Amino acid sequence: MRIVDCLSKNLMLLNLGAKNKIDCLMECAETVARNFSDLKKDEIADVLLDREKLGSTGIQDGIAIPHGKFRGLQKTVILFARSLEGIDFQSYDGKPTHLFFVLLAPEETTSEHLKLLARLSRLLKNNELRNELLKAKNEEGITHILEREDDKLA
Amino acid sequence: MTSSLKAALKIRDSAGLHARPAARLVTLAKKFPAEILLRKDSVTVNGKSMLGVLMLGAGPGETIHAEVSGLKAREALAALREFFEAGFP
Repeated sequence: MRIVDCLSKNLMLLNLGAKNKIDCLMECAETVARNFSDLKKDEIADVLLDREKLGSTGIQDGIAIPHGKFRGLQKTVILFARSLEGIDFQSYDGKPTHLFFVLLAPEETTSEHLKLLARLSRLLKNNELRNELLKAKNEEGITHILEREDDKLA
Repeated sequence: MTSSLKAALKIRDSAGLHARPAARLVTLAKKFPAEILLRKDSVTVNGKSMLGVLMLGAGPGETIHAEVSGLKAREALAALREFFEAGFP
């Protein structure tokens, strides 16, 4: 499964207003709920925040991959969010997080989830790509960058 | 003259090496000064990088090949073995 197949322009927040982890995940949850009538904002936020309690999904190099499983989802979706200022997401390298790929998966998706995580990681390892994502002016730009890089992966 | 130590590590956890165990693995690896390389198929990554470990996308039953060198290499490899054998405690 490609990253771009899970993205949509309705699920992109290019300028997060949130200044902290909880607000950030609430903002993401709100956007997801607006697009999926089966999911409630508070439930989404609860799942994502519960996962954070087990260890931050703030990885390194300004990237976080918050994730959770949701009943009522037919396929995995990814919300992209960006904070130009950066948010303290308790990342493993201690740096502020700027780029968020929020993975929402259906309940039974262990192997697909692993593959998607691996693919995202391969993509985000690229320093130049991360800079491009920070500079992109709109949703089309983000989609274009990710599509181009996704196509390069086997 | 230092040579590297190698081991094949099998994934026993039923969910594979997903984000939480990856974080624990990296935390463990960072305790040692040794260089820790992990390989699955043709992908080799730094065992001290969370993004690297996630790149492996290693599922249940799969094998990761570890290559450890430098200071405390033996101790680091023993810790990795234990971590995999215990199913990512």
